[in-house]
Amino acid sequence: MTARRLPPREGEWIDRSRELEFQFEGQRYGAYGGDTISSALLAGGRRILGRSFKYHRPRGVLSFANHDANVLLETTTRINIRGDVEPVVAGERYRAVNTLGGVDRDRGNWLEALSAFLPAGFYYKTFYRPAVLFPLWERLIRRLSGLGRINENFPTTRGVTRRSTCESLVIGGGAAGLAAAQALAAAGKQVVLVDEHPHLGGSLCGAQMDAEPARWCAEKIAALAQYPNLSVLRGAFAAGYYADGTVPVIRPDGMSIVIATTVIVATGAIEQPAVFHNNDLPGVMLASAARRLVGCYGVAPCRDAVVLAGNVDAYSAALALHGNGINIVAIVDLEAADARGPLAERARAAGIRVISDSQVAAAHARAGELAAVTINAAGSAGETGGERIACDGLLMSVGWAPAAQLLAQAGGRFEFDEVVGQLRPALLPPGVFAAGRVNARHTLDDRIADGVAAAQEALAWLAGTPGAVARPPLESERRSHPLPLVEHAGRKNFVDFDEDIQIEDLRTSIREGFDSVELLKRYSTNGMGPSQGKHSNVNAARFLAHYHAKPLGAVGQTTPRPFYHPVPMGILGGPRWRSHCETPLIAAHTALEATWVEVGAWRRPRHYRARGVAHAIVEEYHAVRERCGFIDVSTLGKLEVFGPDAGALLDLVYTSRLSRAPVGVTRVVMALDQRGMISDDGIAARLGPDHYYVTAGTGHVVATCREMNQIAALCRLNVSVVDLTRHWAAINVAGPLARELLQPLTEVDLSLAAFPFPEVREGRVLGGPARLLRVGFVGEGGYEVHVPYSHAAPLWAALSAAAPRFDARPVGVDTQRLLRLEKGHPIVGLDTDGVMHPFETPLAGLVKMDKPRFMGRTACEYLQHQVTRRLIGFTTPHHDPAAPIEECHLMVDAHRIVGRVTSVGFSPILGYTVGLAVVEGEGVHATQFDIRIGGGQLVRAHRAQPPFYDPTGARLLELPA
Amino acid sequence: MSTHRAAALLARYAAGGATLGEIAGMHTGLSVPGAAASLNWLAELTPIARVLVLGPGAAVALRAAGLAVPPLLGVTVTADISVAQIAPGQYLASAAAASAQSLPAFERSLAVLVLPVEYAEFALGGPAITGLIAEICTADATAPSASGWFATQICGLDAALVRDARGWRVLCAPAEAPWLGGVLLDLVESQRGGLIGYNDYLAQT
Repeated sequence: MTARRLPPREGEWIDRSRELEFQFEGQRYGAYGGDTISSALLAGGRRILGRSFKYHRPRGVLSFANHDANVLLETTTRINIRGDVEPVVAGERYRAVNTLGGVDRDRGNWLEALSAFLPAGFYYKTFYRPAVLFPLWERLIRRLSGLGRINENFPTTRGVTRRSTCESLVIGGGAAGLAAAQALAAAGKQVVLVDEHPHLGGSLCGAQMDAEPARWCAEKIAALAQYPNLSVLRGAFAAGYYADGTVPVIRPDGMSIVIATTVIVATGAIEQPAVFHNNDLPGVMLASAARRLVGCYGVAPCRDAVVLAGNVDAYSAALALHGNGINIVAIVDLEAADARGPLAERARAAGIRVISDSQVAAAHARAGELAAVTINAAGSAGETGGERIACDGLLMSVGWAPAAQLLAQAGGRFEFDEVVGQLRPALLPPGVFAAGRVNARHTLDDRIADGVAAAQEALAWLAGTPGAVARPPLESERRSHPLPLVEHAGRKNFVDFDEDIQIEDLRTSIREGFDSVELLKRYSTNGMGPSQGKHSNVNAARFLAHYHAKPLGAVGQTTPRPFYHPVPMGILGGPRWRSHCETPLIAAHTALEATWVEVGAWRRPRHYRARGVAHAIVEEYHAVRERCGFIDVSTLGKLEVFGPDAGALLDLVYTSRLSRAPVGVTRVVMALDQRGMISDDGIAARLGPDHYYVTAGTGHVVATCREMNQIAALCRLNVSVVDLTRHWAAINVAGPLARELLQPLTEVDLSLAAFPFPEVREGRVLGGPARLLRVGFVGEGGYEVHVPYSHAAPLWAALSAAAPRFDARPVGVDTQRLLRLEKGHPIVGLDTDGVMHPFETPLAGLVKMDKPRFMGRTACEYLQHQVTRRLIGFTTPHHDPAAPIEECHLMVDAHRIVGRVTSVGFSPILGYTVGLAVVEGEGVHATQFDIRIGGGQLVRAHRAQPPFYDPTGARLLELPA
Repeated sequence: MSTHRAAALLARYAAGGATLGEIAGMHTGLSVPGAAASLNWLAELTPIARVLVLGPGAAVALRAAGLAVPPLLGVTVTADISVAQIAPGQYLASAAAASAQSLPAFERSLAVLVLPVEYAEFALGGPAITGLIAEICTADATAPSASGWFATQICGLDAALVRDARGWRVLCAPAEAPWLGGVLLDLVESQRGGLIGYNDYLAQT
């Protein structure tokens, strides 16, 4: 046991049977299981644990509650480890961040000598002149700034995200939270209790004057174990409050997203530091930190302590520590000690010197650590008339700020209570309740009663009879000193420890006009460090109020935003899984050595094994045009629409009138959004009087399905819409010999007379259910066969087995796109963009304006007269694989950009290049253009009316030649 | 190239030395060596025949077929045929695992559509599975209300959870099954579990 380690005590958080070793800055230290890095280092006699951000001043423990960033450490695999709360890992090697040469000999401390030249906002006024030096400053500042260095070789970590729901989420496991959780659990509610510490109890876990608080705490925790409807998350913190009671709770190994019907915030209060010369020396800490070190970790923070008192809590802290063997040299009370009542008497009776109406004007260092303080009359400037007291610990207990960040994020409104000296909630949104210190109740009895009352309010809310329950009256004891700030000519009186912000920095900011609480924050950076103002916002506001001679409640407060504590990116970053869909023919495509293209979550074959890309496409192309090809189109969206109002629904969703289509017929359909812009297209097949089967774009089907269901619900239509996209598959068999290839596999009569274009049949293919559609996307006679998912592989295998007899072959996406381009069929999302309406395209004929209602109709009434762009066809003799025309190449007319290419390809059968393009302005009427291809070369193109191939459609309709 | 209908995890079954065979016309793993000793397990039940019964007359058609009609998002089991109402007026009828193929003949009419549909289904069981489900599901699958047909997201995919006496069942679209099945199996194996065959699953009590 080291000199600073105290004897074992009941309820301590460490396991003395587990002894660990670790290193800090190259030196070995011992620890017990459960020790935090800071507690172990303090127990080992080390007090300089870090260096400040700006001036590289030595720093030690301040809050020991994750409310400050004094102790930020790194290892070879992690950065910015919070030493105050992070458990020691055996064998680990820790180093302080932000040092040049180590925490003991930090060469960066030369910056402190320049502090007069580095006031708040200095970077707005310097470095930019002379401009030639700016790159030098930039390199220097980048080297000096930041906390921790990212190592790209760090191991990848990813947290596990879980989700849960509950009727009541209680945040904070102190007195109020424990009381609330028990009351709710006893009433049978599903409760989740969250506390950021490894043990419940909150401030009751620190060293206490008397045994009663610890006894109550132990009994309450034991009682909670009997409730199976109560879940406890320890060592986890609520990171923020989002809409509808959604609270992400951060655990060491991930995140639990809790969705709660009611939320009780019992997060306590954050002890605030006093501001005086050298108030950041190692050895100067909050009294609550000392209590936690002693009570939970058995570590003496110092031998001889001076307690700076701004409230009665200072006296209970002093007495508790005195009872644990800490020598309390003096209690320096900022006000009259007699006003503290019995506690002051107890302190005096214990032999503690109590000094009234005094302040700590300055702290003094030896070897960088606290060695003495100077006290003088409260309100004095500097060290005038001061008495020097030797000590190695200064414990500050001057006030509290409610940990109300979550309440503010929930939309709570606050008011400043002059009696208690604290902000407290004045108005909270429905279903959100506050209890305990965050609600300005500080005595143990009041906190317990407040927790029970909050639980009763939550129960009433859950029962549908919301109403306020009487809360314990606010006490008359002021818990926070109104202005614990001392000016000093030597400055170094830090308001914000994260950013090294001193009183003078605040004064400078206000004088320069940044004199509101929000501007003051942003100009000075007070509250913008890792602690997010937990220990600095209130003091800055106090100074601002004092400067303007206003009450504290009049200056307002800044807006706290998530997260409450910093959250590692590994817990937040990215989805754990990246799913994908597979058509049932993946194995077949792979066997044919397909080259893939990603289409959303799917992969599709671009083309198959060949001597080269161009050869593959040409060979597949000729197969379709001259014989037969078959392509996997399983990624197509597929929607089943059934019910008495099926036709009515489709008439509302699409621009054409499908309710009048005969049974057994297909129709090309187009959908618009409310702006009248093209959103999707497809084929609608009428299978029965109240039954349609609709295809949609691969990337649009989810939105189209959602739109259908929304419209059906809004219009109260009697119809079911089922998305079969990933449940069924489809193969398109196209070409002059498609019928011959497919007929042996199906009982459906595929003859032209029995099954002409554009009709649909239901029947059986290879003995399984199927739907066959006559579609014309590629311009050849053919059949699109839709089957249940697992039936596609046998069908493809049968087609492949029969293919050699007809010299048929499988066809990929690249060839399919060329085939449809020759027919001039636009692809929504490729040839159209999100702001193209149908009257700018050849699809205008699909818009039936004589239909009284359809999505986008109102916009179409206007748009049909607002044609400023056109989707046109073009041809060009240019065909150079070394200098191809590509999508998005610009259309140029007389050196003006008039459009861009949307689709282009060389037609083997026509012998020239064809394409589609969007043109605007003068290009709308132009008959020829230049296309600017790679390297700036211009190629001439001529406007042409699609379809380029088989313009009469004779091949598709299988008309006699 | 495939000439038969194949379960999503057929390759994993084959790699694990399973006895392969046909269930309801689909090739899958029937039994896996050492299946009985698997503490946590996953079995693929995709071969089970299913139909969607929907339309204004769907409930009548179900009753006429002797099947109980479940409430919305509820599941009923009649003579080993399970029926889940997965959306208003949409009922997914699944054959019993033991028979895999025997669905009743539903009366067809203009008010009823009986649509053959495929779902991939993975059954999971064992002491670690509930915790695993909690890890991969976007909703609180362990809440008391998580019974019946629990539409949610599993590993980022739209899927459904059903609880039964043996454990959990995950249903998804067959296009996502190869990926999801692989992920689920990897997770089960990370919990000292493994793949079991269709017949091994039936033997579970």
